[in-house]
Amino acid sequence: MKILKFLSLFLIAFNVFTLSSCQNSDDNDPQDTSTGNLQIKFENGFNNLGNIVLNQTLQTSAAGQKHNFSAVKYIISNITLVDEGGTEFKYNENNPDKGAFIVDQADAVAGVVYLNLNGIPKNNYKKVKLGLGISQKAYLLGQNGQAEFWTKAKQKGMSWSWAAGYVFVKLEGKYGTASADTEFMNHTGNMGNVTANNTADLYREITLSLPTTARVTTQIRPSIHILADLNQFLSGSKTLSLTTENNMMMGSGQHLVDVTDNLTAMFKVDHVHND
Amino acid sequence: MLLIIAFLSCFSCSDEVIQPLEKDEAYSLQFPSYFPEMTFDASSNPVTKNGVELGRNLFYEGRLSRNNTISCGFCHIQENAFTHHGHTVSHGVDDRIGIRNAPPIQNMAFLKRYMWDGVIHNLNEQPVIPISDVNEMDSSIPEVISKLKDDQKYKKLFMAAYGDENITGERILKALSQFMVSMISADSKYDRVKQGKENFTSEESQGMALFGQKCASCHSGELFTDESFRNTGMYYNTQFKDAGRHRVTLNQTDWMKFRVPSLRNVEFTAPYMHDGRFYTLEAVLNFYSDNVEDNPNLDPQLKQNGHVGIAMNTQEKQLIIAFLKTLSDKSFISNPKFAE
Repeated sequence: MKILKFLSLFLIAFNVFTLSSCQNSDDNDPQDTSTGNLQIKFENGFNNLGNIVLNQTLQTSAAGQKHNFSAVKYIISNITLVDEGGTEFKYNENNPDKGAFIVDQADAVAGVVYLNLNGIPKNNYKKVKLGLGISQKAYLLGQNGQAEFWTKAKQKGMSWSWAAGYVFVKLEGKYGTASADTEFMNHTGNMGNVTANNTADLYREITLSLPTTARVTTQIRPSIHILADLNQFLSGSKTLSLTTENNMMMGSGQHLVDVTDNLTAMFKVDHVHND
Repeated sequence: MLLIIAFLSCFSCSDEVIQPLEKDEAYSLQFPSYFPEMTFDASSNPVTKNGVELGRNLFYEGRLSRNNTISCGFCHIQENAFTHHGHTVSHGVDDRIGIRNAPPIQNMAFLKRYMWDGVIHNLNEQPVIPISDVNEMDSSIPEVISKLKDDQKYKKLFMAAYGDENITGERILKALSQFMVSMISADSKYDRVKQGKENFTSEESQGMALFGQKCASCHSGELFTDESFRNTGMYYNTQFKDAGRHRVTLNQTDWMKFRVPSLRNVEFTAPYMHDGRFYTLEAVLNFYSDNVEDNPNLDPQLKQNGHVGIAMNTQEKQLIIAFLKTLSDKSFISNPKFAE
């Protein structure tokens, strides 16, 4: 046993030596390794009506249904920034405790929900990628691998029990033909391990181009302003109607697959501030 | 050489990893002296620490359902006193919709009947219904056993609770019972007042007096239910076709009779009634004052001196609600012992 310990100590020492020698060569590299911060703003609206005010803003869908929202919440994770050369910086990839956020319209300040990211390498970024929901890879890390975010999701009503997992998008409100008077709840999300359970995977990655380069430096904290057009919910690439069959759905049934596909097209970057 | 070292070091570690099983001991069930007598038969299912822990794991186990997604905790959410907050009726496997509002799981050891229609008399049998109902978990006990029997975690838990690794349906059900029996809610403001540790506000006291006059004939005793079945003049919901106790007895006099629910933690368990038709306590009281429908089965308590419903004005309703909120037990809904 003593020999083993000695050997392992020797190996550790050897590793430290090789690692430090790597670092030395890095130091000679002129590349700036400083980091800065980045802000992403989410503004939920109906593109033709302006911001969503919960229980207020009434929209008419492409199919002619009046509807409003009493809750609009969704999970954003796996934020990735793509620089001018196409190199990606992944922000706490598949690590919900550090890299997942809940955008809740109830938290909006003057219509905007703010996400603040730190430790972003100094660089000029041309694109941002967003994960809508939680990837299978992250979910399969298990409940203990994301205790912090799971608790947060619970508090925000964005979780089922662990076997089912996270609610990705929660849309609730009222709808109707003449007026919005019937309740609806559409809660999308994966049902646990989608491969093992043979259910649809609703996690989506969305790539958005930035109209202006986001220049992250130690001094500049760019702010990416995203508009989310909730009109896509019922009036997206597939025209949907709420019915007594689908107005209380949760999980990943076909209607919620359609909703997810529609919502995937709802984001666009309106502008970027570099200040 | 490196491989050998790695192998040897792993080998030497694994010797140390195996820990002796925790010694099982009786689980001490604590509840106030004024609670009703326990109905749970502990002699045929002794409640132990390891049994409760196994039950907790099973309660949050998705593999109790056909496609491994719906655990008991899916519809029985702790923060809402183990009800399905926000959902009128329960959702199950493949998002199928049930016909009833998930009732709270609390103080089960003291009840004589379970479910809205009282079809179950023995807590040990209760989980069979949600596990096998096609709209809930759509599975079966043999299927559950086949999924869990080779799982290392469960082998360990069954060994700890029962002395060997053998997984049987009876053991699964009894462990779930033990966990449910441990879920005692008895630390509300009402309890603390009763124990002389706190005082009611004047609204709460007035509310309690009104509650005594207007509600306590059915919501009686320390669990605030007499466990009877009553027709309270609710319309028959054609969407769910649920006539309550009638489903069990097929006796016309039981048409639309439902079990009087406990009111402990009622603040957390919206929506209300067997089909979740009311979203607020105000709506429930408005129903009792103004919208009770007369019918041949209507409970006599709701038709006294020819008056249908319970006479209450707006202020009285507010006072009653103030009292109902003293039945909220925050430590129960946040106790890590009951959490996933």
